[in-house]
Amino acid sequence: MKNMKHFFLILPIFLISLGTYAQTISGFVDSEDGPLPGATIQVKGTNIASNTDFDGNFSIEADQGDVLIISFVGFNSQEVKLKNQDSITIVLSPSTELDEIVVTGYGTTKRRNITGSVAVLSAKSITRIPVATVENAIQGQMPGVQVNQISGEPGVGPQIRVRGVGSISGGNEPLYVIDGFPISKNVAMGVTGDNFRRGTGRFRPPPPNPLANINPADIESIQVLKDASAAAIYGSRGSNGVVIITTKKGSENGEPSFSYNTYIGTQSVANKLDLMNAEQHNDLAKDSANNFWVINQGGNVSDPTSARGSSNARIPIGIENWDGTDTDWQDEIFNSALVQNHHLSASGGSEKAKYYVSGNFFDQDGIIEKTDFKRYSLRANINVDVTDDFRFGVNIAPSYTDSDKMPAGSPYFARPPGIVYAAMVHFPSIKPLNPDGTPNQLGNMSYQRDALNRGTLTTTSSNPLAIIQGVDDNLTQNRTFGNVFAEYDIIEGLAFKTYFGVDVNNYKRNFYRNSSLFYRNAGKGETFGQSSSSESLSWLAEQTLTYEKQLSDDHNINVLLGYTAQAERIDINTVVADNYPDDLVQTISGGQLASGTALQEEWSLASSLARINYAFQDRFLLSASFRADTSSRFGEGNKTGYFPAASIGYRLSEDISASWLDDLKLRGSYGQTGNFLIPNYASVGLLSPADYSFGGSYQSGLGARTLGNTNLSWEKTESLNFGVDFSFIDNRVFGSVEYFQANTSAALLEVPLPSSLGFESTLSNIGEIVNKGFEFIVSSRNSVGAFKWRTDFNLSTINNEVISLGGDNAPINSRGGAGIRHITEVGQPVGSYYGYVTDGIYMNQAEVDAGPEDTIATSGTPLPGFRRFKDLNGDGKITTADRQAIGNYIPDFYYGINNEFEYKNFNFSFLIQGVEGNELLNLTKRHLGNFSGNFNNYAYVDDRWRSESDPGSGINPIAMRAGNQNNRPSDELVDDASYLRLRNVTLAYNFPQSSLGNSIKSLRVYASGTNLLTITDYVGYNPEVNNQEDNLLVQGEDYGSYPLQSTLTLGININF
Amino acid sequence: MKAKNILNIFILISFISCSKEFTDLSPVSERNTGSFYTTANDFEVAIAGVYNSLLSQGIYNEAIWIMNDLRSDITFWNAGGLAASIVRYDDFEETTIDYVGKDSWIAHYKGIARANTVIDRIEDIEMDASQKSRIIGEAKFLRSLMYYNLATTFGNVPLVLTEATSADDTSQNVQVPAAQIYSQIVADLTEAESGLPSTAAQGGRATKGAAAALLGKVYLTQGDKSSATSALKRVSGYSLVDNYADLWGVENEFNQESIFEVSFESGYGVLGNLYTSAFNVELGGTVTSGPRNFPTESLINSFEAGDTRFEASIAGIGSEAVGFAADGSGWTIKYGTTNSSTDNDGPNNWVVLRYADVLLMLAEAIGESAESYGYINQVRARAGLGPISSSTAGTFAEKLLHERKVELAFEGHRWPDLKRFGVAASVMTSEGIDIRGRLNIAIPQREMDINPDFVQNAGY
Repeated sequence: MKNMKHFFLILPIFLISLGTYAQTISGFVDSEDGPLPGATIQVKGTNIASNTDFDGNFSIEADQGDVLIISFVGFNSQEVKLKNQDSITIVLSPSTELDEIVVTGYGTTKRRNITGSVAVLSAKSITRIPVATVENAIQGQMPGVQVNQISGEPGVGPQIRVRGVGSISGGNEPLYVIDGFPISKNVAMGVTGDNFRRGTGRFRPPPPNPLANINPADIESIQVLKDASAAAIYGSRGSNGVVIITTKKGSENGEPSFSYNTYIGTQSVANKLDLMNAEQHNDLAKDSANNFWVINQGGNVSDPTSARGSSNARIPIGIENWDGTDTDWQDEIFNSALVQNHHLSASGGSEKAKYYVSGNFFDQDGIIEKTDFKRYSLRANINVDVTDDFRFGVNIAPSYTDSDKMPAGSPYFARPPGIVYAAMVHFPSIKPLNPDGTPNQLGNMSYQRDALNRGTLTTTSSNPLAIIQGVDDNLTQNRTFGNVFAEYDIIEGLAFKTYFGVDVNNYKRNFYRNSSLFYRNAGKGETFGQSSSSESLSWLAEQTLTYEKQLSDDHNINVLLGYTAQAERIDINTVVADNYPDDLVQTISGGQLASGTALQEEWSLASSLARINYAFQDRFLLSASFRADTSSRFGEGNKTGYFPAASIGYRLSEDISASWLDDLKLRGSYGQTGNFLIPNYASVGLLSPADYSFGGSYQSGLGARTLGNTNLSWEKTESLNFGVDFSFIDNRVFGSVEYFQANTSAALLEVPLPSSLGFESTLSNIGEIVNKGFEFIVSSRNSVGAFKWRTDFNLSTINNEVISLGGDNAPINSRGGAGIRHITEVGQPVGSYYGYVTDGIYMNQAEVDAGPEDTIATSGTPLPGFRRFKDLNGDGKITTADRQAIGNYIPDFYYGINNEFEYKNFNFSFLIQGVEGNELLNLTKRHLGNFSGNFNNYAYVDDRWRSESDPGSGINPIAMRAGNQNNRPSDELVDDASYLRLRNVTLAYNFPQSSLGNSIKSLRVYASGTNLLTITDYVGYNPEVNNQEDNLLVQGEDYGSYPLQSTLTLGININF
Repeated sequence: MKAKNILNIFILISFISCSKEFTDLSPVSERNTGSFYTTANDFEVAIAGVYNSLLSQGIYNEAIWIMNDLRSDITFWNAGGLAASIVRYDDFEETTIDYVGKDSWIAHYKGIARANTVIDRIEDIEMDASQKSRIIGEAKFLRSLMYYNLATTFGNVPLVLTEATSADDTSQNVQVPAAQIYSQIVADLTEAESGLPSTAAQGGRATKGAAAALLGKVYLTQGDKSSATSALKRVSGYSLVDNYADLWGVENEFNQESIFEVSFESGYGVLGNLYTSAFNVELGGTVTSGPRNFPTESLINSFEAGDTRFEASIAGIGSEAVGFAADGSGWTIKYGTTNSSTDNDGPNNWVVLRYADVLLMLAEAIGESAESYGYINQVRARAGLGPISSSTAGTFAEKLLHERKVELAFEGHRWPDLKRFGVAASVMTSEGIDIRGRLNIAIPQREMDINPDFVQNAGY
């Protein structure tokens, strides 16, 4: 053996000496799709290379005996040894996804050999749609991975859920692993209060979106580890799935390759709400006041407003004396907006060193004025093979984002008020501007009086245009992400790798509310400034040993051992000022300092891991892994957790001889994972300041804030996964079917405590939740040859159910945006909507008399035209016992279909994506569907019960200014939010090589449309909205949102 | 060899970072129960935390005057909108989920838990004995005050006397009869009275007098008039302020008549009150629909001609202010006529116990007699009114209750007074309000849901 080694060492010299006799070899590269232009031909072991022309022909200088490597994207590479030939023909077979190398966490494997559940998305599918962030690219393209675009606000990332929700009070965000560095979204830290709730205008740094800084075009591939066997190697962070993102590396190809990608697009609001116009709303306002006066107060409909003794019966003067104004408030706030992206990259390298460097500028304006998101990012990925047995690599990616924000997505009464909601509730009969051009701020206020200057109890809302003028809010993020690794082959097959990574992340937010904005019915503005910043530093040190050995022709083993330690420290500072004398200086220095604080938190995680993969031939595959995690977040007695997993695969196709069958594999897995997304110090009883002034003498005081729980631990998920992978008909149809069941036990629950303990709740590991479902993915190359047509389809079902809530399984009622409207109870999905069940409308007094007594209504018995509530327990009365779970946000299934057509140089594709069977809690109906006239209402309100003989649609109640019970938590506010969306359509043209000249390798131009069409019954803006993303107990609320935009884009990709 | 070295390095690095310290992280920015409560000073900090509970919205900042005054015949608020649930309390139409009752329950028990922590943990701490007995006395006084509020507001409530250290510690979450609460208060206050100093080192701290005065009130509530008499007679060192108007205003806090008051302070953001701007509409800033507490006609008419307390208590009658449903009804000025601070950060203290109350309680405890008229007439004389006697019209109870109504208006005494005198329903009926059997506020729905054994109060 030793001698042989030396022999190989002299071989290159031998080859080089032969090289002097090189001759020209000509050839032709063909495939089942026809000749392949642009294929690469390289003489093995040299830098000599050539490309095929448009017709697939090439010529290259080589010697007999040389090996030619013929490669082309999308096809399996081939090596051909020249044996006294001067011309050759090579037929390349298309590669399939099965041949891809998949990153599985601390290692890679061929996709065909995977035995766990891993979803894969390649660079091509990521950049197909011009998107701001990576999550947008995933939507609809990966089974088991649900992406919700909860907001259209620039810079706000969608929400990702892998295989349902397994946690109630911990986080449900997957773990992101970017080039080997695990990043978890942090559970919201200590600075409390948020813009959403009434009466607070406090800052909370957004949970860092790990993906907002990454240019999607820098990504080589995305893998999502879905089942426990795949994710258990990430131990206590694996339960919510693991999203592995690998960025692009340089190629060995030698020649540097430059790429410039740009697009520019125009965006407009994806849909507008169907609201009442002035005439309809005026009618509603009069109708509701008149009904109150006549039915409730016993008055006469002909009584003028001036004679009406109750403010609820008075008609606002602007409606009584309507001047014809009919404002479409939605048109007032939504604009068309530009989006543009520039991305320049260079990649290349030699045998020894490879590089990929890129720069990106992304600039998106929002469809609401003063909202935008800009990203500047750089990336350098360098890999160096120093010697045959020593390698190192560096990835570094600094980025900066700058985002102007507006309080667009909050309710109209929030502080600051929500722009979109304010536009929704504003009367159309009100002029948006005063004659001097300033926003008309008194129109929808309580100043909207009757002719005698008496109140009409018009509910007040700030003018949305005044909110835009009155608020300045800027968020910047400065992030540097980098890692280095070195790898050494100790002996053949045994490699030691050491890896060190850091992620430094700074946020800064400046908020100013100027004196021009009147808050609701205030007659003057209240200045308010806030400046906040946060800094986090996360580092990771990791050592791994891998050993790979082909024991004989039949047996292959691959062993991994590792140790890893990670820690993060986060600092937050915030200062608040008010009473600014003017708006000239808007920083904190311009006002009176009102309050401020600074705080710090830390967490750490130390882990050991091991994995063994064994393959018998190609037939039998086995993988087993183990991880031990010790985390600072867990209670004293429970600091370390152990996470085993195993999976097996059997390739049936090895036993079946059928020409149409290319691959058929059965696989099954079992594993345990955990979820450590709990607050950093939840296991400790925390004390918070509770000071007192003894007669003016200040004394620091403390009081317990949390009870603490020394047994607090990670949530444990045990999951089973069964799958079949198949590939038929020359790999033209391939895909997988999977079934999974994931049982989360020890789920963290914020358990309500009897307040007499001094605490309202505490975190405990007591819940059990099960998620199960099927996943299908099929790709089919329907047509090959000159006309190519490919279809990718995926569909996932999900079933979520609470199994246990500990103790006596007392249900958890949760308070969302508007009181208690959610329940978490055994047998239902987590955080189901909760309330009364409606049963149509009382059509007449006889029906009212026959109905149950309503003990909830403070205004007495229902009237004809009121909603009828069901007496669920049949005791003849409507009481709080007549509430039940009335829907949830978990879909029955979600799906995506992508079709791609290619003919000559044209490429056309469209992606349809949808969700079926989920409901939203549409809290906007509390105002826009209240039939009270004090807000504008949805247009369907026009079709209402007006009398027994004119009952309208029969499902809508009577207009009634007060006491109508329309806001009672009921299924009336639970709306089907299923949708089908034409997510993207793209038409591209690839210029023929012959037209480009020598300096340009390829040129592609395309036009693309995103979110062009959404088919849904949902009456709000966005069926994907989720107001309180962080609180799993109250998911699925629509209480105002920044609508999505539809985008038309033109783009160019040039390679040179 | 090389391989072995690298393996050694690998193992070494693993063990370095494996050290226990790496994953033992204590909170950086918050103190925690594991490391606190060790020194005498820690307990000064902890007892300040118990006093701090009194500032909460569920206790003296809001709930007390909603439960005890707004709900009674002396004040009202009738706006809609954001304050609708407060109005429901005024009208006896509140539901079991309305927030004031829930806030009150939670805030009182949080304060009690803080007191329990002090009482439980101070035992083994080495410190000056008089300091220790003073701190225990303060904790027991404050716990008693909060239990008194709970029992008069809700009736039968759980009696929790030790610190909860885990979520399973629910054995004390059992409703006990209000009588049992009062017995515990008597025991606690008796101990507190002996441990507390006669005079407070700082304004706002509990004293022997405060403990005795509260003890007297609880005895009266129990109906034990002779014990009440002796307790109230132990309240010494206090005297009436000459001019009733001089009881009020920040400059008059902790005066000779004050026995126990809750010390609010503006400027810190979290130590101020909301009622200063909520009561006096001239100080209300932009708040138009928040909580209010306006005098009823019945209260206004209760002041006798020449009663100097009227001018010191109420202003603004007939004054029109845009945006207020109670135009012209006037407002109280006991809690400030000027306010340099922002809304919800008022500096005016809440007086819980003062000597005039003690004098009137003493009269109540002794019963109709020359001595008791003497106490009542002390209070009347200070108000510029002539003496009353057994020959004055009305029963003794009516005369006494009338005096309490005008003397202690807006001070959070009315509803417990009406209940103690057994006239709550009849007085409200004469105001045209049916209390629907709701002598006690509803046990909050959240507590009913957690412990199904709880029995809801009458009327809900």
